[in-house]
Amino acid sequence: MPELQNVVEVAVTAAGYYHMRGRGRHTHAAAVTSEGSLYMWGANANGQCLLPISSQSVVLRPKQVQVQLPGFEASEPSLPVLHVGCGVEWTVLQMDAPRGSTEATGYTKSASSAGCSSSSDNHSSYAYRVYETDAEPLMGQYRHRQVVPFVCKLREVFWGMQEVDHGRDGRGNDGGLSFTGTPRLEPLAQLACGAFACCLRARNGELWSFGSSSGPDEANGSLLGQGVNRNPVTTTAALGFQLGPPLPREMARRVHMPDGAGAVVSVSGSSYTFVAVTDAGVAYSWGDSDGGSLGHGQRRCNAPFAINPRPDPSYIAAAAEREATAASTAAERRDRHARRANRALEFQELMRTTLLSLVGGGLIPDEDEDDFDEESDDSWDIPSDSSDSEDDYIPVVEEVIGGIDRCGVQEGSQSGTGDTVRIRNASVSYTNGALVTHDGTVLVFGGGSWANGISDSEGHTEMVPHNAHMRQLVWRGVAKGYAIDSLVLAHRHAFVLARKVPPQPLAACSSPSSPLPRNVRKACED
Amino acid sequence: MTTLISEPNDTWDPILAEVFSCLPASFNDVLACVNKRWKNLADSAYWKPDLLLYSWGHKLSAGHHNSDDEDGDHELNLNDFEANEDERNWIGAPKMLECFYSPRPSFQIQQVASGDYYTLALSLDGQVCDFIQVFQLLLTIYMHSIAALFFTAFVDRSSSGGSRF
Repeated sequence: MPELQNVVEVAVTAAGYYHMRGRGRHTHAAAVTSEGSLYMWGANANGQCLLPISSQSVVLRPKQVQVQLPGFEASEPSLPVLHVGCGVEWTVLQMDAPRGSTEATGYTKSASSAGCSSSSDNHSSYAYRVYETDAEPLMGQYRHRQVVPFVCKLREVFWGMQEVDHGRDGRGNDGGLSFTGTPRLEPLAQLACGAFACCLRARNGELWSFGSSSGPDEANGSLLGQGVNRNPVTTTAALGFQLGPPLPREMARRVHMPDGAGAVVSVSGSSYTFVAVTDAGVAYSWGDSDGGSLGHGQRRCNAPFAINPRPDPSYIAAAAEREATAASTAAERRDRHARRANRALEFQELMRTTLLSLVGGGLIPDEDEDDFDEESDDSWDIPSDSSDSEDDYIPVVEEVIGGIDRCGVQEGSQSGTGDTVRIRNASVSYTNGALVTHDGTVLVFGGGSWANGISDSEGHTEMVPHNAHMRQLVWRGVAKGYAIDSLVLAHRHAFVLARKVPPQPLAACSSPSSPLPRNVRKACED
Repeated sequence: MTTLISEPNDTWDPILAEVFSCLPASFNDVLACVNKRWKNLADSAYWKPDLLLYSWGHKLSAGHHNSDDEDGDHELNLNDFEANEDERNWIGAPKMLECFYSPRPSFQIQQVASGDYYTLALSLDGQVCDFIQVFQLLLTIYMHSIAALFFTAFVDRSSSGGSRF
């Protein structure tokens, strides 16, 4: 792309599923240069490229976009963009605040983030500048300050979260309000956009989220990870926007990470799932659990829950039990039925001879097979000649069991190691998820619903239960001297980025045992 | 040449490393078979690119559509053509993208952003390339357009009492 030079970050609409979505038609992309310029291209049907809808419904080539936040004069230069994220028909920007940053007391840099969005059926939009406050009373106190409606030119809704900057004028005053205390929100390090929600990772490892809690398809777990699925499912509020003053849920709020989880080092989002990795090497996921997309057994997951990259003994036991009672084909079931009938006949014969010997005959047990079906609780044991709707259910059951079998084999291969599995990075897409460890081990989970995924090494996806666990990809790992840097999972394909391990300390480089050439060792000594 | 291969002269190692760095990554295994010195050099990472990119999944999406098949020839079975087609187009485990194995910063990828049919790769020197799925997206749009036209024509004919196709 010759239009793009000195780019420091790129973003594209995350892969994912939802109804009424045409694949590729809602994709847009963005790039940020080192100077803070923003370039956007792709679908612009709802102004998500921050360009007039009437002139360009599709932006074919990257085009520089001038971003003016509400409240700033048009004559002012465009604010430099720090980070960008692309959702479905909306864009999130983190911008460098121009005013008050140098004069403000208490901190040196004021960064703000603003989300720009639109909804297709929302003809009169408002813009909000929402100042971060953590407590409900503060919100009431500053209500007139927090909600500043603007009518936007391009139907976008500006939605922002700004650090408490002690006032615009740098002296702690802005419209008669004064913020005291230290800024609670650190500058952002990453924007991770799903289709309907966005996660903000602060540089101190805190995680914040805003957007729709459940999306148009009504996720069974909160996409925001804030502990409660508020379920504001309306078309106009698909992104959490609605006419009138914003409700508290529309503010960016902290994701409820478990106590002691540590700082978040990376976060990734798809349409209905999010996954975050902490510096302790633990991955947490939340959102919709269909198809095993979360990698853990939580069916309704409204807050981050740790993914166990190791086999879950209870899961394996449950799977084994399920397999013992239900994992057989129709032919096997018929054979077992025949064996059971034979055992029943033998039992009858034994009883007959026993009773005859005891009472001298006359007591003959009923030969009805059902009386001797000691495994009558085997509810799935469907007769082979059944013609009801359960016929359709049989292959599904077998397929599920097949998935368990394959999972179990690979889980067993992991269970032998006793060391701690430290997750380096994680990514989700559709109902698929992938984890990568520091040593290059790639674990894949989910992929059992909707648009399939990359569950197994052959690309076949099977229906797996919602709590299906890890499958490990067999490969050589990254090249020697490299370590996994990041992982990007998309629809039925994934990328792993490996970065060269930083050079050893000079003392180690100069040691005679170092593999470096002698002249390099000598340079280290010098 | 003898010096390059066998003599343990540190003077030649940087030259060897320079040569190695211009070769495809798949040559490393071959170079490591020459002798111990070459193996040490081939295994060392100091002359290799700072960043490597691996991918797996569907070949067309993962960027391996030009890569040779390491598994040998696939037997063509017309009765199960779709399954064979799927297997042929599938990379089961992460595999290095050789096109980004280069000492040049413009070929080293520092960030990847991937969507349904669109992948952006950001190189070390700030260049952006979109690759892999563009033609797939175009094909999808094309097929949708054809289907829409076909459906429109069918509806028009049906409503006007014309024959079906």
